[in-house]
Amino acid sequence: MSRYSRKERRLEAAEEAAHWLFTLQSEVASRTERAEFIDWLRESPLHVAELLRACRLQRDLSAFSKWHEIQAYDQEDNSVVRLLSVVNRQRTRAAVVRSFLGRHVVLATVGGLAIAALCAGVAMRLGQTVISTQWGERREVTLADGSIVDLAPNSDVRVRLQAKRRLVSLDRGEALFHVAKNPNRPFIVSAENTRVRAVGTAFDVARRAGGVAVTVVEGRVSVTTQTSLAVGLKAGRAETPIRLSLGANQQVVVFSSTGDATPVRQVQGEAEVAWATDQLDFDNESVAEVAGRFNLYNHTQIRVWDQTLAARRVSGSFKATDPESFVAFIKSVAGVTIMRQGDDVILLGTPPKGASAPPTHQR
Amino acid sequence: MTGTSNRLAEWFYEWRQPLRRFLLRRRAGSAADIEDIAQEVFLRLLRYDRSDLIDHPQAYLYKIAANVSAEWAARSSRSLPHSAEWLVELVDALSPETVAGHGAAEAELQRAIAALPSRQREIVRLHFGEGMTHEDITKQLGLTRRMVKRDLARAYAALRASLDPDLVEAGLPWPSSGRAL
Repeated sequence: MSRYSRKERRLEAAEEAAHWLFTLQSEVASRTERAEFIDWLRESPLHVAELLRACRLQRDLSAFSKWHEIQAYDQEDNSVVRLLSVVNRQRTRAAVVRSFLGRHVVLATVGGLAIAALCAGVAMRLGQTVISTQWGERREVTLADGSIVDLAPNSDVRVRLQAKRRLVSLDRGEALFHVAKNPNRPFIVSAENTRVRAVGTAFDVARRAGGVAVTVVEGRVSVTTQTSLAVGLKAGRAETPIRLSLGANQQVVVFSSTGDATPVRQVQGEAEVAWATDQLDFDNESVAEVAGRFNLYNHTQIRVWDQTLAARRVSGSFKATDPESFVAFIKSVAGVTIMRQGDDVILLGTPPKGASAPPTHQR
Repeated sequence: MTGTSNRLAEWFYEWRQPLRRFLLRRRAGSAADIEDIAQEVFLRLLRYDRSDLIDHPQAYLYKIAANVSAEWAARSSRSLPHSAEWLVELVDALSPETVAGHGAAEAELQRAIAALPSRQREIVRLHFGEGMTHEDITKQLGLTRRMVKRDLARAYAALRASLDPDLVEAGLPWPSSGRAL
């Protein structure tokens, strides 16, 4: 038996022991319960030892005198019990249906209770909130500390609110964080090799192909990287972790392969995170990229067949949930053929003969 | 925590005290003692009739405790020039050392309790800090009995894993009164 599994076994036994201790102390234990207890106790000296430890712990807790210094559920924590306020902005009926049938609409909460009752298939992980979105779906979630996470489509974050810090892991996609100010409890977002630390501010972290983009809308954050040894060796140099400070309207991209970062550049922070208000702003981006962004938010998918058109650069501001407005815009500026396949696919340009599958434009 | 509901918790201390005298005498480490006791109890449990144990589990545990307790006490007094009580008194006296140990134990408990997930922490606090019963807590927090019990059991397991036994062991005083046997 490995050391790890023995430890697991002990913890399990500790929980069982506590359970039996409470059962016996309630003094309404049925004969069946008492029989189960005795059988459990006679199974292993480990069980006896854990029962002894549970007894001791109970005594230690009774003797503990500083309960007044233990933080009670405050207003902040209460929101956890009352449920996280979840605004689920789903635009198309198809997306709603998909999300209910979907495997991974996952919302667990710290100590997670009520949410479990609400949706089936909830992944309950102790002390961790998991928020996921699928295609065409965006979520705004208010965390127990008052911070707000806007999650872009096709994204996953895990949140752990601890006493001394708030930890968020962006496992996929992109998220905008409006951090509730608390200097004693830094808000730390990690994505791949990048860590972004804030106290109270608004910033966006996006995992893109090749790297992690950090954009600050308000306030200031510090960005650090952890370069893996393998990467350092591959690059033929000692690893040099990046540590930089980003202010409002600044952006940096950290490359996952090297751990290097682009120079900090000035951006329009609000525009960069306009997606969170269902606004898509494009500044000199290819039609293919733009189509990909729209496709993330909508069940209706845009396929660009015309390669010249796909590479063409456009700028503009659109409602993310209104791909038709973009199609109308393209039609007016480029004069391309617009075709439709059913209700869900809009083709820009004419497919060549014999083409079986249209190209997709997805992030 | 008063009255009969705490009697099982006392059980442990009935074991601990004579054993501790014995181990103090031998200057053995504290780490092995629970395992030693557990082994002893386990073997005795196997000797009793299962259905007797089921009928009166607590009574039998006390009986075993009393027996082992007496044996440990006998062994420890045989090996000591003075009365076994002498060492117990020494341990219990609040010398500066044990006062410091007491502070360390409290700090260690406080650290571990603070690190619990918020709902578990609240349930532990209401139960031990404010003396609420499981039933009271279900009303206070709007949870089911089952959830309260499960959270409390998980909190025990988490504390058991995170507490440094040496710090807690050294510090908390033996209860001076309210001993229920």
